[in-house]
Amino acid sequence: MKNIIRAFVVVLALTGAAAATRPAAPATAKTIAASGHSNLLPLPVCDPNDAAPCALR
Amino acid sequence: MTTVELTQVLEYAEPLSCLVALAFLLRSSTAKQFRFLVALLATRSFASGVGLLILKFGRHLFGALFGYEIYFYFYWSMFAVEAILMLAVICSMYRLAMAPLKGLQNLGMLIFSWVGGISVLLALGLSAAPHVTATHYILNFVSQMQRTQSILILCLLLFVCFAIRPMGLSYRSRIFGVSLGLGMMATASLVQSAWIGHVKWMRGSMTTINDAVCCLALAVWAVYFALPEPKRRIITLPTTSPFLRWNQISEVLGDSPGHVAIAGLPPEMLAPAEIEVMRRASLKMQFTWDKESHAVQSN
Repeated sequence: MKNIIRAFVVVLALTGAAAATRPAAPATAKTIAASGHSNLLPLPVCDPNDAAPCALR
Repeated sequence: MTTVELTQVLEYAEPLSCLVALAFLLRSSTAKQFRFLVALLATRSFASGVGLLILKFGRHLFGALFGYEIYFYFYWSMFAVEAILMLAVICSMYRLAMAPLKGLQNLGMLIFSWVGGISVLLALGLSAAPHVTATHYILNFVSQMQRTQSILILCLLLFVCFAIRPMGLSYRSRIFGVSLGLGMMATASLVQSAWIGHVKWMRGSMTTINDAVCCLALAVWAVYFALPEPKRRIITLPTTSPFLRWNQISEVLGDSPGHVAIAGLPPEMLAPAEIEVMRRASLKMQFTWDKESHAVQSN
């Protein structure tokens, strides 16, 4: 059990490290380059000044 | 069930999971110990509830575009508040985990403060770019800080996982459970941040995976607070343990050192009581020395 938990934690850390080495996409005029968030609400990725693609449906 | 439907179900499940975890935490009467986690869960429940209401009724109340604008600013404001609370949770978890080793606890907090300060400066610098508006700048800054925070969470999880025995904890301890939940969220967050550049709209398969991981992390917290926690063991470390050695070193770090007068000192620097003590001590020493020399001569 102890080894399973340790292996799971190592996998989490390695996955996080691999993801962190990828640079986040730069912000463009239309989209917000934001980090992911633990909140389950959909991420608002459009600039509020040009919100047509993300308009509420 | 399609991905979009599953995502919507998970969106509704999140505030409920938060409330369930919060209820178990309050019931376990450890709310004072985990007060930042209580604040985080309460904020998440509020943010999720209000966010869902805006998504559901915003279009009818404010129109599609203005509704999105309200959602945008609400989301990022709550994002910043939650990021600060999560940082406070990381600090409190570290302090709780290291409570028996005060020296290392203080040293860790000192390092943590420096890392935090340097991260803020780096994020401020990296967020600046030509033609970046104030909104973009703030969002880039918050995102950079969140990435740093996720990395810090994973470091904390690794530390708690591998140094759990010297700290007298077990894998059933709530400190480990909270760190594990935070670590799962941090990993999902980092993966999503690497993915986010390819997203065209707010909902996607990556969002669904992220949502599922977050619900799982909240379930982990609920289970850990629902089950009784084993008592912390009495810590016995071998005298050669590096934990003990570093704790002793850390305890004396920062103490103001004593001072020694190396070239003698004039009598006026001493208080009258000190002079009297020294006079009596030298008389006593003289008396002892005379007595010993008489004893040697008579022999």
